[in-house]
Parts: sequence; structure tokens; C-alpha cells
Amino acid sequence: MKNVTLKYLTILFLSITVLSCSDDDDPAVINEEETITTVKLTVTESGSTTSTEYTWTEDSQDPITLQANTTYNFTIEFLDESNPDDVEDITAEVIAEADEHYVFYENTVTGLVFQSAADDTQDSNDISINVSTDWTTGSAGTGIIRAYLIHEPTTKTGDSRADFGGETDIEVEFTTTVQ
Amino acid sequence: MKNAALIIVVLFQSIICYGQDCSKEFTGKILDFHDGVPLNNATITFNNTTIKSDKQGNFKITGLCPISYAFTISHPDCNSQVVTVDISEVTNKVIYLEHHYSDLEEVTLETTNEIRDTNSQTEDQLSKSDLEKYSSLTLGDALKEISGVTSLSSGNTIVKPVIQGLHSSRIIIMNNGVRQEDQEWGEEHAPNLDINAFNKIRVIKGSGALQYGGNAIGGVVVAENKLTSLKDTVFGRTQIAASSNGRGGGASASINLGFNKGWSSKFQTSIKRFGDSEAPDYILSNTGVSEQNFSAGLGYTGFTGGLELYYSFFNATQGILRASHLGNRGDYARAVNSPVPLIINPFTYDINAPKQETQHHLAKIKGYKRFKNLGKLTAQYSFQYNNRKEFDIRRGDDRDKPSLDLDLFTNALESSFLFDANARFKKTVGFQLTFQENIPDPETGIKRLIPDYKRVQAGLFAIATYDLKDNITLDAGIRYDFVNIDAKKFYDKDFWEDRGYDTEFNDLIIADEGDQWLTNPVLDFHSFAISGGLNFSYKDQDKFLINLSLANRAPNPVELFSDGLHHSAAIIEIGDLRTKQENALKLSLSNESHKLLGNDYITISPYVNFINNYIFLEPSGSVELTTRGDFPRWEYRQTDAILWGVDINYGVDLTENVGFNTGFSYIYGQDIENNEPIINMPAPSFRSELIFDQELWNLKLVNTTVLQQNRFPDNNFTDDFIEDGAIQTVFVDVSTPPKGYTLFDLAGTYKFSLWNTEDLSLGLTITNIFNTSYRDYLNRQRFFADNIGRNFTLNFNFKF
Repeated sequence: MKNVTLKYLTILFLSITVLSCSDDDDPAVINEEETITTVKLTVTESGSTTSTEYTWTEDSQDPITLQANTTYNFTIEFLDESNPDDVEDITAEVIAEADEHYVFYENTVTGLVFQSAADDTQDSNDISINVSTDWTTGSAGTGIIRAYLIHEPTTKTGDSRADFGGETDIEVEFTTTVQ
Repeated sequence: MKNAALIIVVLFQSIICYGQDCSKEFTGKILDFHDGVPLNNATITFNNTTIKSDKQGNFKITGLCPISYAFTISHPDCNSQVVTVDISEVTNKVIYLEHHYSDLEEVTLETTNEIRDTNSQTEDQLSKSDLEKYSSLTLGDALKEISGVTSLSSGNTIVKPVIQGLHSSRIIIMNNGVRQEDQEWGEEHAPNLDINAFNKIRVIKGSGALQYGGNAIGGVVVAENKLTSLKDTVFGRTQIAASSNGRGGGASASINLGFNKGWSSKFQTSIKRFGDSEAPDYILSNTGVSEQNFSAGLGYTGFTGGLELYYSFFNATQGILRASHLGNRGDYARAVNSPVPLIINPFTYDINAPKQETQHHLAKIKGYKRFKNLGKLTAQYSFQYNNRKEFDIRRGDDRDKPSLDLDLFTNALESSFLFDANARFKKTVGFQLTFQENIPDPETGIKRLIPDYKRVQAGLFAIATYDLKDNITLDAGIRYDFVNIDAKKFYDKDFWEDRGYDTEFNDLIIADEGDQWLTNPVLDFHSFAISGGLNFSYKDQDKFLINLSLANRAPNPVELFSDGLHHSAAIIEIGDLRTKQENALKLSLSNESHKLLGNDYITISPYVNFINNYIFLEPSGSVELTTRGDFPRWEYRQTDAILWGVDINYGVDLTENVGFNTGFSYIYGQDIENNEPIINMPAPSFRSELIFDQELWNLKLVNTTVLQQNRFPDNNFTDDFIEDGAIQTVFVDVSTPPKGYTLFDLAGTYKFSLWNTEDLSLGLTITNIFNTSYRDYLNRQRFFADNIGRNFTLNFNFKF
């Protein structure tokens, strides 16, 4: 009985306190983090040391240009640039949590194929997660390259996005010309 | 106990009485406490003698000794009262009897008497024995027994009631006399209350119960559990239920104590724990639930006044189907087009993200005082604190942080006066003052779906019932509410311009926060509600009701301010600052006829509801590119709508021990401005029961048949994917309702008598006997998974 009364009084007191304390304080602004604002592809022609960067953001997407019948290395980076003074590299997190992540590419350019590179990150089951990939072009053509960062895929083998399950952390598209 | 004391007093008196001058006279009058009307045929009992009052309420007792006597005064419609009178000093007395027994209403465990809340609205109720079957389920599940009430669910644990097509903010839920404030605006926010805490639940299908609020366009659910008015008593119950599906169960216990002099108290607690549920063909991963509840009440229920303290606590963690959490539109398309959920894990009791954690505290203090020949004054203060945390699947350090964390504080003060001195013409006037504050926790790191706001509501109402004749009662009511919402909301500057707010609302901006504006929208709404109707009884038990109700509903915070991503639907929901009030005009009729073909009855209740400025969510046709991918954008819009339908119930006693009843509901919802059907209208449905009732056991076969909803708006879309180096287009049908289905349940109970008669009952229930795979139109997870399959539940119920 005493406890019940005490409980009532406590709650009543707390509510009054909370209501009066919060008066007229403006709420704190939230700048969302943990989003991926930028995806960068660094493309290096095989045997060369010069590389080209292609950047995807919500507002602008660089078109990719490749030479026919050539081999390239692609490394992908995921960045959070929502605060320009504090750019976060999400790629490090993807690599640290390699078991839960997988990068997958699809493209519509005739003859363009990819496989994981020798220096690619591997998860605990020795599966390469495609942070670094080798691409080979065929004859000239145009199309798109679509890149997915998949979170908790149900499997890491497959030919199309649907095969992997999981959730798409980010999906980006680059128009691509092979000349 | 009481009787024993009386016998002692009587014996004692007889002894003293002997040898005195016993020729005293005691005269008096017995009157109704409320209206002073004389009570005919009241009995006055003492020393094995019984005397009755005459038509004027007068009585006269002769041959009394000059000592104290205990007289027991009784009347068929009243509470009995013991009056002790010292005949040596008093020879004349006016005795008032409490003539409104139903008001005090003894809490018998099985109340079957129908006590209505309104005079002319269509009402239905569930008794404790109906509710017991749902002890390990939810309020929403139990209410589906009532025709015209369906449910809007997110899986099988988050279940909201839908009354004649309307739900969420359009329904008021009364939790033991307090209007439940638990973020009820959300379609995936189930009522935060425990079904085991109530002994009776009534559903009023319309807005006419103005004492509860003026904006219940859909209706009112009144859940209550009164304190016992029995003296010197202890009773209670323990219930344990174990289910095969979900491999869990629930336990609940309650105890009611009645002390001397009208004091009483009650305590109730329950727990629930389930792992993943199972559809016929697969596990519904991450659909477990864990729930703990507690309530306690203490009160004095007196003749002229009373006081009640009540506190309840609800705490739940509910898993949300893992496969319904989607990263982007492509994921959504794949999930919808897959015949089975894309994520099926082995059975577990673990509840991971996506999940909800909700807590609700409710405390109230209520008092009443009756005034002779006038009426009853009631006053109540209540406090509610609701916390809701929603967890999405997040990355890195934020992994265990909720995406949404809302604190809602509600303080309400209300009072009403019932003038019942004239029993033929009762009037109630009252007011309600509500102060509410919503505080989203910025620690989530995700922009607030609902902003910080303060809401003040002040309501005034007057209702009256008038007995035109013995069998015709009229009612009328009027209510006015003032609603003020004072919000502090951040808007992305792009969004602010995109919505055109910069041309209309720039004066609301109070701070510049980089790429966001901090704004201070202050909105006032004036809502009026009117209701009137008639209740006509004819023949023996037949009844006809007609009611016309007009109600306004101010938009809720989500309709005004919502601005964010909903992972379970993979849509971005956008509210509108310009949203106006909804205005609804509803005409409902109900006719109940008995003895048509035998010992049977039929109730037919048609209705039509015209809603101007009906607020609903629809796809805007645009796709918003976000950093997670592209999502379709859905916006709150207003239109004019018409909802009409009919609920039919038929019941018959086939033999003394076999009964059959069936209910049918149909509803038609149309957007009359754009000439298209309204989304999420319940499909036509039947619910039938065949009941075998013996003295010690009963058996019930239940069939639920739901037809396919053929009226729906087209919100389908297409998505593209890459296959064999070429872009393919895929059609995503999110509009066509699932096929109809028919389910059979079987429930049996056997009663044992251990210490008292029928104090133990054992029950076995099998739901979805044939393990039918089906999907329900009003289940938000229907896009991804089947409903749950067969379930065996064993029930143990002990009363003491």
C-alpha cells in the first residue's frame, strides 16, 4: 500500500519534473551519419600506375571510360561525406566486417567481365568480397555498371543481385563507355 | 461473514429483549437515493420478520423493544443495506437505497448482463470468458470475434483493431477509464495494453460516445476491470497457456480483495514469451515476443462517494519479420516477388532488429460523490508515460541504437456530472483537459520521424438521454474540443522549398542549422461533435437503434509532420503541414429480432459514413534517390470518402446443448473525389461458431472465411534489374489483395471441481486445423510471408 502510493508520487513527481525541465529548450539538430554519401571507383590499367577516379554522389555521377580489350583493376571506396570537415571512410568498416558484407557488380556492356583481384579482402571463409576487382573489356560498346554493397547476404555466390539475398546498403550506377 | 455477524446481533437482541416493554413502533419511508422516489415493495427484515413498504415507500413495524435493532433493507433493484436503529431514541427514519446497482456493479467473474455505454450506437461486448481464450494473444485478436471489427497487423504479434474500416487515430481506446495515449497514430503501433488486465471490453461502433472524446470517427474500445464491491472476500485466478506455434506461452495471475467498509484492491500480473512463429511451410524469422505486465488498484466504493487509485505497467519487445526489413526499392521488388521470405533462419527465441520495445505506464486517481436528489460528480486525474523504441538493422557503432526513440507524456484532468434525479431524463456534462508532450531522443542519430511537440486539448461536452416512452429512449450530445499543437521541427532546406513551405510558412523558421531549418509550427484546431439517436424496444426482446453522429478529427502528428524512411514498407512517408481536420457524418441503424424460426435472433446493422478531408497515404508517383538507394515516396493527402457497410449476426439454439451463430461483415470504401477504391478496406468476411455446451465440458468449432477484396487502388510499380548483361523490367504488384481463405479452429474446455465448484478448467485449442497457407490483406507482412500455421494451445485456468 505504502509502496503503491510511493510509486504514484514518484511518477507524478517525475512527470512534473520532466515536463517543466524540457520547457522551451530547442531540440538538438541531428546530422545523420552512417550513411554512404559517396562511392569512389579507382580504376588502374593493368601494368600502369596512373589511375582514374570515378565518383558517385546523389547529385553527380561520373561516366566511366575504358579501352577495348584491356585489363583494369577497380578498387571501390564507400565514404560518408555528410560532414565535409569529418569525412568517414566506411570501406574500413566493410573490410573489418568482411563476413557480413559483399560487393557485387552487374553490367550491360558487351564483353565486360570481372573477378576478384589477388589483393582483394577475404572473409573468414576465404571468400573474396570484391573490394578490389580485375576487369577485362571486350570490343567497344556502351552500357552501365551497377555496384551493390550487400549487407548480410544469404550467400556469396551468384550471377545476379537476386541470388545474394541480404539487404542493399547502397546501390550505384555508372554509365560506361568502352572505346 | 456478514451473515454470521448479523445472526449474533439478532441473537443478542433477542436475549436482551426478553422481559422489556416491547410495544414500541418504528415508522419510516424508503426512498431512492438519486431521485427521492418512494420504493414500493422494499423488504425490511429483522429477527425472522419481514415487512414490506407500500407504494409511497412507507413502512410501520410494531411490537419493538426499546433497544438497538439491525434492519436489513432490500429491494430487487438495489443494494441491500443494514441499518442499525436504537428504538429507545428513534422512532421514525427515512432510509435511502442505492437504486443504481449497475453503477456499482459487483465484479462477478462472468458478467453476462449487457450494460450499454450509449443509447443508440451499435455496441458489442466481450466478457471475461471470451477474453480468457486470448490470454496469450492481444486485444486486437480478441476483438475480431465482433462482426465489423477486423485487425490491421504487422505479423502476428502487432495487432491493431479496425472498426468498420477505420483504425489508429480514428479509434479511442479507454484503458480503465483513461484514454490510452501510446503513439496510436502508427499503423504498426499496437495498443500498449495487456488483455489480461480487463474483465470486460466493449466496442462502440461510432463517434457518438462523446464522453470519451469527440474525434473517434471509427469508434471506441472500452476496456475495464472494476474493483470488487463485495465485502470480506478474496478471489482470484491463475492462468497458464502453452502454444506449439512460437513454442511459448503466457501466464497470468490476479487477486481481488474486498475489505470491510467498502475498501477493496486488486493486483494482476502477466508474462508472455514466444519464439519465432511458423507458417505452414517455413519459420517466420524474428517474430518472437516478450511481454511483462502488472497492474494494481485500490479503492473505496461507497454509497455516496468513492475513490480509486490505479496503476498499470506494460512492457513488450516484439520482433518484426526479418525479411520485411529492406535496404532499397530493388530489395523491395525482390522481396515482394519472391514466393517465400528471402530470409529464413532456424527457429530461435532471440529477438533481434528489426524490433520494437514499448513501455507504458498509466496511473490515475479517480473520485466520485453522489448528491441526494441530484446526481453524481466524478473527477479523475491521470498520467501516462509511453516510451517507444524501434530498432532497424544498423551498422557499426550504431548497431544497438534504436532508430526511433519517443517519450510521450500525457497528463489529463477530467470531470463530469451526471444528473440522474429524473431517471427518465438523465444529463451528463463534463470537461477534459489534456497536456501532452512528445520528446524524441536525438541520441538515435536519425532524423526524427515525429518532432518534439506539446499538445493541449480542452474539451467540453453535454449529453442527455430521455425516455420518451417506456420503450423509446432518445439521446443527444454535443462536444467541443480545442486542440493546440506547438511543435519544434527540423526541415531539410531542400525539402522545405520542394514542398512549397517557403512561400507560406517562412515565418515559422526560428533557427538556421546548416542545411536544415528549425521551425516552430503552432497549429490550432476547433473540433465540434454532435450525436443524436433513438433506441426503440418492441415485442419481447426486439430492438431498433438509429444514430446520426457528426465528428471532427484534428490531424495527428504523423499526418502533419512525418518525414522519413519506413524500412518495413521501403517507402518514404511525407506528412503535410497544411493538413486540415477530417469531418465525418455517420448514420447507423441496427435492428435485433428474436424468435424468427425458433429460439434464434438476428441483428442487422447497416451504416454509412461520409468523411470529408479523409486523410490517407498514397504514392506520389515520384521516386526519391537517397544514399541508400531509391525509394518510392508516399504522401499524406486528403480527399472526400464514403464508407458504407453492414454487419449481420445470426444465432440459434439448435437444441438445449447445441448452438450456432454466424457473423458477416461487408464494407465499401470509395474515394469519391478521384473515383477510386480506398486502400486497406477489410474484405467481406464470415465468422461462424458451432457450440456444444454440456454441464462440465464444451466444444466449439469456429470457421473464419475471408473473401478476396476486389476493390483496391492501383499502386503497382516497375523496377529494373540486370540479367545476362541486359536491363530487364519487373512488374511489382503491391496492390492486388491476397486470395480469400477459410480457416477452422476447434476449442474444448473441461471443468473440474477441486476445492470449489468448477474452480479448475483445462482447455485445448487448435487454430488453423488444416495448416492452411494464407495471407491477409490487412497484414502488412503479407507482401513477404504467409500468416502463421496450425497452433495447439493448452490452457490451464484455476479460480479461487
